[in-house]
Amino acid sequence: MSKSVGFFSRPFTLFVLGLLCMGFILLSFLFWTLNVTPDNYFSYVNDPNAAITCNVNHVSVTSDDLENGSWMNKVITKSNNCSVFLTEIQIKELSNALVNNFPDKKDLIQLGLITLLTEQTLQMVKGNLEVYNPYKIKGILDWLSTLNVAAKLDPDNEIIYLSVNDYWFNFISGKLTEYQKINPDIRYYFKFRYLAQHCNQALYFVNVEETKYEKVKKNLLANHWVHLIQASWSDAKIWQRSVFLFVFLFTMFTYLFTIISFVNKTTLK
Amino acid sequence: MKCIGLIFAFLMLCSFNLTAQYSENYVSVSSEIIDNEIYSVIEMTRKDERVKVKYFADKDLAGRSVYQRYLTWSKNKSIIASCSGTYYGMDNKPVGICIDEGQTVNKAEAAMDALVLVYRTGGIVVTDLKEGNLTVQNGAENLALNLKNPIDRTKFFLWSKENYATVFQTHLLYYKNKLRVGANGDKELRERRFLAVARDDEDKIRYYLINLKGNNTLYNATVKVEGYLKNYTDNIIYIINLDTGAQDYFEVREAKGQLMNEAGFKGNKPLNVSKNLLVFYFE
Repeated sequence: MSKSVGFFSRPFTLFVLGLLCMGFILLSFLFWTLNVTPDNYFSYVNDPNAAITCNVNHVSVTSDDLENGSWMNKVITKSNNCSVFLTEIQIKELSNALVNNFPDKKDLIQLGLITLLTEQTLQMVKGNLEVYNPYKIKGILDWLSTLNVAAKLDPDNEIIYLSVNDYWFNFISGKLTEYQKINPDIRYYFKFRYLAQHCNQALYFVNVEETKYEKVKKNLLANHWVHLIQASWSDAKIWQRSVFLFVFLFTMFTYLFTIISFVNKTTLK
Repeated sequence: MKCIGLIFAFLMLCSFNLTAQYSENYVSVSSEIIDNEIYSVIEMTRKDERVKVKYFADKDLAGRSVYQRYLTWSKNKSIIASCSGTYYGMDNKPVGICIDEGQTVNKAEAAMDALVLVYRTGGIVVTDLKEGNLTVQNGAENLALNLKNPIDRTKFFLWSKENYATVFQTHLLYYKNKLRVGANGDKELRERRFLAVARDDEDKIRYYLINLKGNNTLYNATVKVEGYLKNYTDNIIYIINLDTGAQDYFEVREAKGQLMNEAGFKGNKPLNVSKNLLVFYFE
């Protein structure tokens, strides 16, 4: 008891408690600003393989449908339970069935399948991607990873998988660049960084641009004073330059005035 | 002994002069002041294909930096000028499609229209991505590609790997006798550097590397450079932008190999920290 009283009565106790409180507040602030709280962020993403149960209809496709491209609307099941992203098994099944039926039109079928899995699919999900939604993007990236594996296992259709993979990665990388331009804060969010890293690893770099504030901070830390002054001067408007010059001259004048009066006083003594 | 030393020193001096020289018949370096603006211009003709271009976009597979690669490569080469090419993002990777001798650096297309192809033979070609009519040499035949088409994009990346192509993306400012940059674009005032390609009276290709040291917006600088070039040629093929922001690397050599010290022929950053380099050399 006496020890405890002694501890709280010591002069540094308040200082230590204050430090602890500050540390706690700073840590909370850090978690809040950087959004780095540990969590299973993507637990709500639907399993892309769920679409495996939906059958792709390719029975009614005719040669004319292939020629004019109308077959794409026939093969996609419009049921709500089915994903618009065809699985690698569905793609393989569809490709094989069409090539077996129309062996002399393999190039046209491949071209059609690529259009179906890229531009046509994008039209269906475009609305969901207008605003930043990490879960939707994660779903597409998961789908792409299955296609990437399929490209190695199905050499006959490799060009399809590679093209689809390339199209979507390019699209997602561009979208992430766009989102962070609209809201630069998201670049520090864990979810955004996870998605950007995924694209970067596939060599589709998300172009995270530095804000003016970040540029200034970087130059300050690197001691690039000359560049900082030059850049600030060239970016400044005429009124900003005038204000700067006025403040600078005023400061110089007051210094000069102080020095002169100090010298005069010492000379008089 | 002294005599041998003197001969050795003389031979060293001669060899230095021999390796670092270009002919002034093919390259001219000049500075002009027009309306208080200093135009620092390096004009190079592709006549006889002696002036060539090389681009270093990234570290090589062995992990050597761009500058280390440049130093190794430039031994016994007569360098005319070296400068930065495209822009780099915060993660130190080039913005837009970038391939270095077949090795893919970045596959993500940026919102910039110029796709620059630097051939192993030293030629440089620019295509407008919006037009989608890129033609590349694939063995004996030509391959026509539209990079807006997914299957053509895949074919292009496969082609670039097989043919050790070097590619980068940048802003297309002037193309086929039309300005491609708007007055309402980027308002940032800064030093500007451009690569312009035009045909001369003999129908030969000429490269112009033009540096404007004064502060200009991208639009103003392009208009000024267009006006400047039209004094010399009616056939400007294209003008592309070269980065002078975070990548302001620029060095120009005189005909005898010495580095030029004039402000218009120097960048703000030393070459040894360069992340990418576009090099013009003479063979």
